[in-house]
Amino acid sequence: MQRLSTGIPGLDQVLHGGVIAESAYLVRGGPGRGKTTLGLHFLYAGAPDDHSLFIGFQESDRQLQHNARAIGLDVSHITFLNLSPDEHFFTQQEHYDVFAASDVEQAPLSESIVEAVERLQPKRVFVDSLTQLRFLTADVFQYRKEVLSFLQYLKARNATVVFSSEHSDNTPDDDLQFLADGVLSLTEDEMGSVLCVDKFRGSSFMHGCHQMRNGAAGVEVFPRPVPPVEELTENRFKAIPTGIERLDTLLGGGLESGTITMLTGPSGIGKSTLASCIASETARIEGHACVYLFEEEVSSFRHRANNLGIDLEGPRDQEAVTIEQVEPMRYLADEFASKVYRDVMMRQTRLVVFDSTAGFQLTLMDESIKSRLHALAKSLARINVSVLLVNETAMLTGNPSLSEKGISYLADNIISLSYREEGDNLVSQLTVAKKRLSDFDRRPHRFQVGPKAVVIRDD
Amino acid sequence: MTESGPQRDTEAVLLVIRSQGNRKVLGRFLAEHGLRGLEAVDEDSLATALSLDAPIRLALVDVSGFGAGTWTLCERLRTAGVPFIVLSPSRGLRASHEALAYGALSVIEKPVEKAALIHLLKRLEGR
Repeated sequence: MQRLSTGIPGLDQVLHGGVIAESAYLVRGGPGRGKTTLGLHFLYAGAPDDHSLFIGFQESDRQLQHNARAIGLDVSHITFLNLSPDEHFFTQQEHYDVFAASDVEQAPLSESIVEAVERLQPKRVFVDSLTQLRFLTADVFQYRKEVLSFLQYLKARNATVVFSSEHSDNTPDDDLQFLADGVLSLTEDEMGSVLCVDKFRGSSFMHGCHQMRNGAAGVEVFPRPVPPVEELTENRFKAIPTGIERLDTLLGGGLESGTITMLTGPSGIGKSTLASCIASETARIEGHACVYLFEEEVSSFRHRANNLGIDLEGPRDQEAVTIEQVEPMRYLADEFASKVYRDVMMRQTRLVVFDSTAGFQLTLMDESIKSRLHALAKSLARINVSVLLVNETAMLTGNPSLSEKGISYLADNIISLSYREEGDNLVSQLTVAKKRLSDFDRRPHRFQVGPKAVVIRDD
Repeated sequence: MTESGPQRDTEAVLLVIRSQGNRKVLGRFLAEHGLRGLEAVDEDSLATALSLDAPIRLALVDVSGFGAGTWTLCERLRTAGVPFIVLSPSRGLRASHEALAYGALSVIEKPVEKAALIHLLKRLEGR
């Protein structure tokens, strides 16, 4: 079964290798969703001897070529068959009502298409959109028959067809969905713009909706991360020291590699400092550590670590630590996940720090933080990368919940930092609240953030 | 007044139609069926068409765009002995009644089915 690239790497991944040759695919969605752009990507991905053909009923060739160039696609190898009315229709008042449009337009339209197909023998065809044909056929039955016959005609000539539809309440496209071998819906949900594969005959595919962007680089699709199969390597679950001897004792030896640890506590208590210590130590003895900052600036994160004697600068110089600011609204959640996964594979990272989960949600504009973090953190943990989630709680004192976002179930280990009132003073205390893989000290311990970073005392 | 279609010596169908789009699609339709079309867009061009020696089989009069002037045109056709069919907008009941009163052979609502129109034209061939 031959696969053809859609020209969009993320979409090819979703379709497990691209569309199937000599099949017909429907791309549906409202205005501005990226249907035409997706079609341009598909044709662009064809080789010159594929004789890619764009059959358009709406935009002029010039406009389409201009739009393609604007997203960096050279479409010089694509033939545009423009079936939209030219300016004379308006200027010379060529509108008519003596015959139905279907009686007048359909025959010359079919002739133009047949002529182009016979002449070019295209391997890739994009039709934008088949909804236009609906207005040129007398009834629903004939429309369905017409479309079916049209698609069969193209497929019989070894063409792979992508066609768009503009569905609305007034013009539903259910019939086209039945006729197509695959259906891609470009729509919007609580995650923003998404691409969903509703149907894909003859192949498996990545289910669910995937975030997408229709922007300066054209259509980009970011497959929803699926945690890979767990890697059972020799050093799986090896205890890695945190860089704070006392904490290692409380943890029963350290934090096991490939586990997810949540550092939770109120603002300003020292979560990021503790994360810096662990990142520095991991970089020193284990391998690369990467810190993604969603709120704090890189400069202040480094400055504080430096002031507290936490060595991040040495490992940074040796490229054993990377600290990266994640700019607000730069990434979609799935896009960010792909980026992290790519970074980790490239740098052979051993520890990833997300500081913080609240920033993750705000920066990536994602309401569904639980499922996103779950998929990303699990994906990393399964390839034996440790994950630190820095989580801020709102309550300053008392018994705060471990996570107000309800993500504590994600963590294999939870280190809770909190304040306790002692007379007129607030005392910082650290408690190992959860540890899946070993016994641990469950008692709260006072700690101090000072010139020697984090110092834990025995109460 | 303009002319479309192949043979100058064969009977023509006179299109008394204001809309350029309608004249164009009807002219093309007639040509596809081997019929010659003559066009008239107002009283003057109709007078010119009727003054030609060319035999006119039938006139198709589209009421759209002529307003009350339609009936003057119909009167001219009737006086000249040219059979004519009136094309009226759908639900143009009043126009239909008037057209028949002015001597139209028939009134057909737009859009017209091509098959029905060609059938009608062929039938009138032998009149």
